[in-house]
Amino acid sequence: MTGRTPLFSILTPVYNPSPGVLRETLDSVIRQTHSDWELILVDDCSSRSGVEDVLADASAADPRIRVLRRESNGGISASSQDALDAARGEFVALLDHDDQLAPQALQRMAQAIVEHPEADYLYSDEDKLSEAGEFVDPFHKPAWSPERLRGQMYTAHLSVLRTDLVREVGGFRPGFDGSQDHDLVLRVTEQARQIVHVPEILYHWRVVPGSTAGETTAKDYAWDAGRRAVDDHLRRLGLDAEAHFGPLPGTYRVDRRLPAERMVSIVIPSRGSAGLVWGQTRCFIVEAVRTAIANTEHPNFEIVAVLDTSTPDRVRRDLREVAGDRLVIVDFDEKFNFSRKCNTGFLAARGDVVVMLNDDIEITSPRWLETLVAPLEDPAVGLTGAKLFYQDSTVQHGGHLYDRNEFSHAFLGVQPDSTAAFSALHINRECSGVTAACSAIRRETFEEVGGFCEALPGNFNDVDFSMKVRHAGYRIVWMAHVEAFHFESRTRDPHVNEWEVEAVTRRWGTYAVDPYLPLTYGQPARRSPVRIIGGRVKRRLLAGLT
Amino acid sequence: MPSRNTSPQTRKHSEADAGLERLADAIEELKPGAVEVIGGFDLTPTLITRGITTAGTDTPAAADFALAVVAATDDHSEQIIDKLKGDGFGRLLLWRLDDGSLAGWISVAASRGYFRAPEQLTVDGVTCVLLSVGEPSAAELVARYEAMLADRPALDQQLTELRHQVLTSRDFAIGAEAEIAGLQADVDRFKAALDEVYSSTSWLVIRRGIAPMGKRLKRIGSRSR
Repeated sequence: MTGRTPLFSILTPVYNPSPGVLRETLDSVIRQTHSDWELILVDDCSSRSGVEDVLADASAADPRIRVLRRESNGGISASSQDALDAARGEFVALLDHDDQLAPQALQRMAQAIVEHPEADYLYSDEDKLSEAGEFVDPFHKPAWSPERLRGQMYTAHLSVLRTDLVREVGGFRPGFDGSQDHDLVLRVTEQARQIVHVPEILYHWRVVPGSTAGETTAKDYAWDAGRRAVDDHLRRLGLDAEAHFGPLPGTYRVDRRLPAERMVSIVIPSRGSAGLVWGQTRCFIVEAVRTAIANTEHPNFEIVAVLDTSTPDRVRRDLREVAGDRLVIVDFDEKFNFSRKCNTGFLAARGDVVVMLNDDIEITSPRWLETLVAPLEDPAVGLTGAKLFYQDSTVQHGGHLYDRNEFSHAFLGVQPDSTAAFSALHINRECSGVTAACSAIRRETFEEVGGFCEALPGNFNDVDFSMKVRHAGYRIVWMAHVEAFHFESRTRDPHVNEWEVEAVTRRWGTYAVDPYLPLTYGQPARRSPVRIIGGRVKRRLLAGLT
Repeated sequence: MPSRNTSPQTRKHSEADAGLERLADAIEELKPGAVEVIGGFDLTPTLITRGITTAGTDTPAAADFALAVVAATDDHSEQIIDKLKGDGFGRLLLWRLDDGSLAGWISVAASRGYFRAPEQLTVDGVTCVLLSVGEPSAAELVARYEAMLADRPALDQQLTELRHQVLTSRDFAIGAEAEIAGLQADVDRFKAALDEVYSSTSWLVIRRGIAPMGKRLKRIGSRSR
């Protein structure tokens, strides 16, 4: 390692831990392979016998360990602030009194700081330390995901923050006990020059009954503090939004407001097909438009239906009946090319924002349009997507997943209540890409990336589109609370051609690990033949590519 | 040292000169009897060169065939509006040098009895509109404007096709850029791997030890034959 490595101040508030557990925590610090650290232990008036002895022994044994004692019990925020006030290091690392650091934790962080001298905040992967002493439930975290941080405190442990910046933003705030770290990290990341994810498990979070690691409902006060922290964060950023409790403990739902004047064009390519759904025949596009209109209160939108010229007149009449004056019909008399159809619809659209919607969609979420489109008010967000379900209510799309040299849908086939990948199915978050079956993009971003690639008429055009949006520097946000059924490929041939795979990989290469859902553990094994976006392939087309 | 860059003013004049030639072409096609130039930009020399009669400001213009050419920037708009008060021109050509809309002037002209002429004047790259004096009925006016609007679908179609081309070209450019970046990354990766091989101990052993030995063996082999 070249370059100057920093001094770390490890901040550990202590309140009535098991003395044996506390000793193990301290041992994990002493065993660090990086030696430039100080450990500041703040005893918040522990009454449990043996705690004081462990602290005294530790500080006597190693001059880098300092023990401070509070005169009154002040809670975790006050104790953390006391530790921060005493910190001399360039960076602070947060360690709970019953958890453990991996031996190489500080060394890896020091390396990352040398490699990224502007890093103001660093976080690592983590796992849990079971009562049996085993490391379980690893959490391989996504690359920096500000939207996800609003939905849950995903960066958690190990968090390393530049001390000056922590002080500049006001340190630990009283009134946020239990989510004091979430509140701090939100404030620090608002100002940070660079945020670095170290993709290695450097922290072991002990599962103790009553701790948030073991039982997420155990600390309702922490959940509420987290919600207030996110709400404050939204206000500081000037976002017209509000934080609510999410569907699972420890998760939050951010509701943004869409300005009424924002004109939205919903572009739906179709040929007016009909099919059987839940035992009843339906015309797909008519039902898609009906549910899209029924589930929004946004006043300012149009429906741009790009219809094959062969579309039956009856379908056109039904569409007019459902959509009225909002309907714009664009005739398409060329051979099937989904990309070209979408581009044609875009060229006829008048909206500030364009929503691409497949005709075999049935919207089920109230205010879907507002929720899907509102994040685009943030100029850093380029594209948003939705949560889609198959007819049997299993998940069809939880964002795209680009890993193991394949392009696939995340959470494909899982049950809707799955908590895999740390509840990633229930929170808004950044992702590698989203399906064009239900997505939203600003007009100028669509133009900037050149629309959909017409050389990809059937499959992977949304993968390519997503890649272009990210290539242009925008974030893609998957919206967990915009839900719809997707009767996928009921209206076209689901076959994927090798040349299509080659075309998209020639442009963008492939991913060994998805940056936003890395090491997709917790997901069901892939079916055979491999299920990939757009349909089925006969073999692993991309196996062996790097 | 003065900058050799063209100033906005100079650029505007050279654009105007080019536009002026095109405008003179269009005026020739209209076969005017006399042209009176009003406004701040003097078209007279260009017209005289082409044999088109120009009427002086003191000379009463030939009532039916006179053509007033307005060539001015905003600075002269008041002056031009004043000239229009005198009437006496059968047709009026409004030419605007800057990028603004002509709508305001057209409405002023209408208040003085000038309306869009039934015949259209097409001048590439020059913002102009031909008006003619008269008191057309509402039906005539509608017919004139509708006739002009009839061209709109074709223009809209052309515009859509061009926007489509812009989209697909941009997609192609971004794709090519990404492909090249990927290839460049591969080249860099292989170069780095090659450098690693060349700087490895095994490579040095081969180069300094085994390779000379191979040459020697080859030499011995050729001697023995």
